[in-house]
Amino acid sequence: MSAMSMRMTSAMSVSRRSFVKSMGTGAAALLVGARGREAWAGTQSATSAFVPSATSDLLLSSNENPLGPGQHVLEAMQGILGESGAGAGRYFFAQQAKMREVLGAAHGARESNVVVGAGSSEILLIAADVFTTPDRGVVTPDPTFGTCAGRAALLGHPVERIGLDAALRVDLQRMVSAAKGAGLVYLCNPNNPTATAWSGPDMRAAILEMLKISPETTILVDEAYYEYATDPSYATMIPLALENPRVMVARTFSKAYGMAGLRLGYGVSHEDTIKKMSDWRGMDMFTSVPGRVGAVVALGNKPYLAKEVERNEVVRRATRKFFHDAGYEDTDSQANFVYIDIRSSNEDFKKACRERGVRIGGGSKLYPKRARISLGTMEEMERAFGVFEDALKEVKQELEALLEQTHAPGE
Amino acid sequence: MPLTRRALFRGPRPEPTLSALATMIAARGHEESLAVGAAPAPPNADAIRISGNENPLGPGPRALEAVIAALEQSGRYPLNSHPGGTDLTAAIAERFDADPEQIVVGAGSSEILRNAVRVFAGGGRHVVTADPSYGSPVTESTKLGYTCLQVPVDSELRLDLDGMTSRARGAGFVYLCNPNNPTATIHPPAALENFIVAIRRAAPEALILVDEAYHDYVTDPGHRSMIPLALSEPNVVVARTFSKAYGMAGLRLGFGIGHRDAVETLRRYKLSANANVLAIAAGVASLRDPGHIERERERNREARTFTRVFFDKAGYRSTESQTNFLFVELRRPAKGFRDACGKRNVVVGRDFPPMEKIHCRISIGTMEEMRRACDVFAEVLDVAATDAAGGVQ
Repeated sequence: MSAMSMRMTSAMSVSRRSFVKSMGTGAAALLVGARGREAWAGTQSATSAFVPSATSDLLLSSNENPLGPGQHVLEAMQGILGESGAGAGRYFFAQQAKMREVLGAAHGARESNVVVGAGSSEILLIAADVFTTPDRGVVTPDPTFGTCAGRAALLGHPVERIGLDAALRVDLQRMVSAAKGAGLVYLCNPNNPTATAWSGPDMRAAILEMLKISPETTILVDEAYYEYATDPSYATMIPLALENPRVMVARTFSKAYGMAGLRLGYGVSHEDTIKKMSDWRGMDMFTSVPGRVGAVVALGNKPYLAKEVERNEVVRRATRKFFHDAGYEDTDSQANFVYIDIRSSNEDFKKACRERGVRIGGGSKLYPKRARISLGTMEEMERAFGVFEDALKEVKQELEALLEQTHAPGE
Repeated sequence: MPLTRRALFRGPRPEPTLSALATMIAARGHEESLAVGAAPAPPNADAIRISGNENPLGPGPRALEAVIAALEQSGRYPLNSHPGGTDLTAAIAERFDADPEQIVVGAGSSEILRNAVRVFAGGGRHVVTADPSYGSPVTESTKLGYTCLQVPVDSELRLDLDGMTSRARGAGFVYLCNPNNPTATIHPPAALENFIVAIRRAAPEALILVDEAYHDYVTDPGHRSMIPLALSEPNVVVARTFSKAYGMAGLRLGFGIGHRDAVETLRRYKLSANANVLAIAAGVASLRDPGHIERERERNREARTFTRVFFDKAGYRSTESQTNFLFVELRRPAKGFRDACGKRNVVVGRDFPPMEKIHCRISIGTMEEMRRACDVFAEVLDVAATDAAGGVQ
């Protein structure tokens, strides 16, 4: 035994070290800048002072479901812990197959068509890991949810950002043109932060076109807000993903299912593609026992989901009406947030709202006068409307004062 | 039903479907699914599961209370929950006298391990680990196509630190599991410090990851954590988990702590919002209740001593365990022993090649479970149970 006999696992060398060494904090800042706020939540550096996160602020900043997953899910999660809590002490890998089976069945597919993630962001990270290379990068709309682009950039793989069209929709035509030679095309439908969505036929046609002109490209459709889309022409790309190994769809339990804090999402595709992603992921070590049990229960309660979608639609309509009545335009939101043209600096507006106890989203540097506002409950939004009115008044006055100063004679 | 602690203890029993699910879930330790020669599913829910090095009692009462309270925040990202991600990092920093920038949280320490292998090895830089040891660095290296050198443990089943050092030149990642899984052995602090210095000299750019998953179960008074060294020495990170003594294997929480440059690199690769809000709440509450971990360590020590004495008296040697499991030299293949125990509702550990021919890993359950398990072991090994265990009853 003391004689040294090495067992070796070896071979091809993958050069990842060089770019890691060359990444400085500037690159990290760039990465944060490239991501949506939800993604940023996970990577932010902690401050050195202890800052309690408890807040009475109204949180309209992270596109969460303000009601959470519902009592049926909470009870199931509590139940799995057991009366003594011993359930929390057990690893839980046997449930992995069960969960994939349930998720597959929900889409008329099999276990082998599903890969689970700790949030759909893990699916996006895996897709960037598996389908991009130093030669074949990712093509992404801009602005959009930044996780795919962020990971590709971290790996030193090319990122091509395609601006939106005039209606703040993903520019499908330009995305098709840019797809040629890409490793991965990322499409977010409905798109975050602009809240716009393409119809099923439009998406399908664009994806088929990409498949035709770029046979080696994988197309990932992020349908995080799928459940909240109410436009009758909207449709999921899961059927296309199931029949074509180069298309995959990401879904999450963080939005309409109200489980953002539990970190559960999944990808659906042809089994060949899922196998590649599952092999890369390895055994599931990242999702929790309560999260998995909760997700299965949540998926099984369709009436509760339908009620949540309806609730969101009512709030969305009221919120859009509030801004329309006040003279502000927005996009046709198909999500649980709205994207408003406030015609003033969103940074100032955000700050003014925060001073009044309401937190709104980051929006995008490309559209500095657009505010992304997540939808709370109707009661919360009624409270927020008063704050928005005051905050808009304040930023408008500041703007006017600034203009006056600029045009003032003298000096 | 409001989700209060009262509801937890007095609430109605779970729905039948749910308890069926619970039975199925509870039936497996995590390592079986990895495993070479996995244990058969136990015939019923009353099985004694001593295969996954889990804490049979789960988290302490304060942590459990925190989890129940946090359920209502399931809809919030850890950015917005309270306690939230920054609270956890701050609590860990406070506990270990570190800056928050020196801590990277993971969905279990496995996330830290995987990312560390991926980022620090590769590009011609190999991985050095022990054999047998916790398998994640080997699995990850294989997946990535990295070279992984596995240095056999010595004749006393301790890590061969000199052997590992001699294989470290040009390495990108060196993994040291202390106490080691599955052999349950530890090394004294001076030996570890010398090892780290020697590795730093042989491979200045390698990340040295000291996995202290079982640290909280160590009872040897000479034992020291390498966290203070990791906080000052570049390229040293200590991984800790809440899956063992903290009883949170099902919640997925761990962290890496060390030099800020290495930690910063690991942070860039972590999953977005990786730790869930329940785990965060339980983690913060646990860190504020160190007395519970002391009691858990003592509880485990008693059950561990009882079990070890049983095997001693029955004529089977085991290493001097500093963990919540024993590595027993059964002088027969683990598989036959495992299958025989499984038929009697006791689920013991998987194979640990290359040692599965004569060794078996047995996790420590509650004292009551270990009494029952030792009766089964006696039957399977054909020794007189009462004689063997008599000395400590």
